[in-house]
Amino acid sequence: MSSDCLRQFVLKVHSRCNLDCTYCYIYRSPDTSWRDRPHHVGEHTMRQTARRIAEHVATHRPRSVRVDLHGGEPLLTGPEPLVAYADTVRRAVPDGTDVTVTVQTNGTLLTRPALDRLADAGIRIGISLDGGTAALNARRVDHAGRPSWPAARRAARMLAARRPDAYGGLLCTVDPATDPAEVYSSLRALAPPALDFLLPHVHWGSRPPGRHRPAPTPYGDWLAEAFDLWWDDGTRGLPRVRLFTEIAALLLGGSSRTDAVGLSPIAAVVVETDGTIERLDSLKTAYPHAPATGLDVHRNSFDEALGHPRIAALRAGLGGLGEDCRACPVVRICGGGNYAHRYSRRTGHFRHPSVHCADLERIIRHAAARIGEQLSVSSRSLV
Amino acid sequence: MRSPDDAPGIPLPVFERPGVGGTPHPVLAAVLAELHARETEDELPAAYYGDSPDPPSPPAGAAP
Repeated sequence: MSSDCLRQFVLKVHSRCNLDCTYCYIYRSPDTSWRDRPHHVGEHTMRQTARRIAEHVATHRPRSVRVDLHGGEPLLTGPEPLVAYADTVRRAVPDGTDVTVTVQTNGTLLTRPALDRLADAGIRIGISLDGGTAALNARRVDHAGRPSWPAARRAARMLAARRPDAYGGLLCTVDPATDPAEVYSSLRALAPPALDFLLPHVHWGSRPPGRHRPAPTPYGDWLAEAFDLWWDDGTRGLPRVRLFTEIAALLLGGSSRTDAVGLSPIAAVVVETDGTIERLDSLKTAYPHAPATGLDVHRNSFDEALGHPRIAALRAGLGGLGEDCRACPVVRICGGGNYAHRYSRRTGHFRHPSVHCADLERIIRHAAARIGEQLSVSSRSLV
Repeated sequence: MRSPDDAPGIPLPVFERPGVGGTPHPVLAAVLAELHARETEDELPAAYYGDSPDPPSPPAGAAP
């Protein structure tokens, strides 16, 4: 078995975005470090990042690593720098470790030639969409307030029809004001192999929208309804829904592979366009420089990043949680939720339950109830 | 509609997990197949950043 190590490298290709989504956790957050970054990654930083990944792999020998090309909007560079970055990393990583490469895009700049170029280079493409209709994507606009939906829809349809082999899936940020049935069915209509529903990146200092509603768990209720649609969906081409799959896996005694739930150590780091090594982007919502480590690929290794206290804090599992969480019967499933969601401006730290705590418990208990319709319950308690 | 067990403080159930192919429920079968594949991979558990696609999952019932 390989040793514990970093296995996901989120590589920023471009530090700007052509959209101005109203809920963006990068450009509408207290951290504005993106303003100081080069717009796009240079060849020297690409090569050095690849060397550092290879060095880390040679030490730890993981079976596979993930390279996620990210932004901002990565396709602002066009496809060639993405292919170059992917090739540079793949050439550098020693034999014996698989390298999977993805790009997460808003889809608006995905042309047919770009799609073919990326797909032929073995890069899988994920698109961010909040549903499969114009109305559901009203928050996803450009800097002039124009909807991104027409171009994003074109991209999703093109992926499904032309290069399903490169179709990574769709990421949807939950809005409890929408109808989960409409969101689920309209996303299904875009034929993704996978979906995920993300809770908004907020914390105790920036409550999630919708919290004023009478129901105490608007996000949890939404997710419960979406879970039922997925769980009871008997049609062909059923997508994998990551959040629900991971919750089910945890309830069945497995470990999770997402930073949204579970106690598995986070295996990801971010490399900015200038080579700076940072923690996850979601932390930008907390305070300026919350993702910072002070490290960069030009001077530091990923082993140094692995040992950095700020990164270790994301890998502390149960020991990194506050007392309330550790005592909770749901903790081994929720894992305290996404790290960034635990931040409190009042205390200045992350050792709190998630601001989405009640919603997480709601969807977890709902999933347990549905699974319980299919399986026997053993006599042991999970506590 | 909420389950009768949907209340804070109540321990979660622990399920008797069937083997791969041990349930006719297609979604549960896919989850079990994925779990089986993970547990035979001989890798330590790791959590991945959620703003990116996952690699393709094995089809339901596929050998690891």
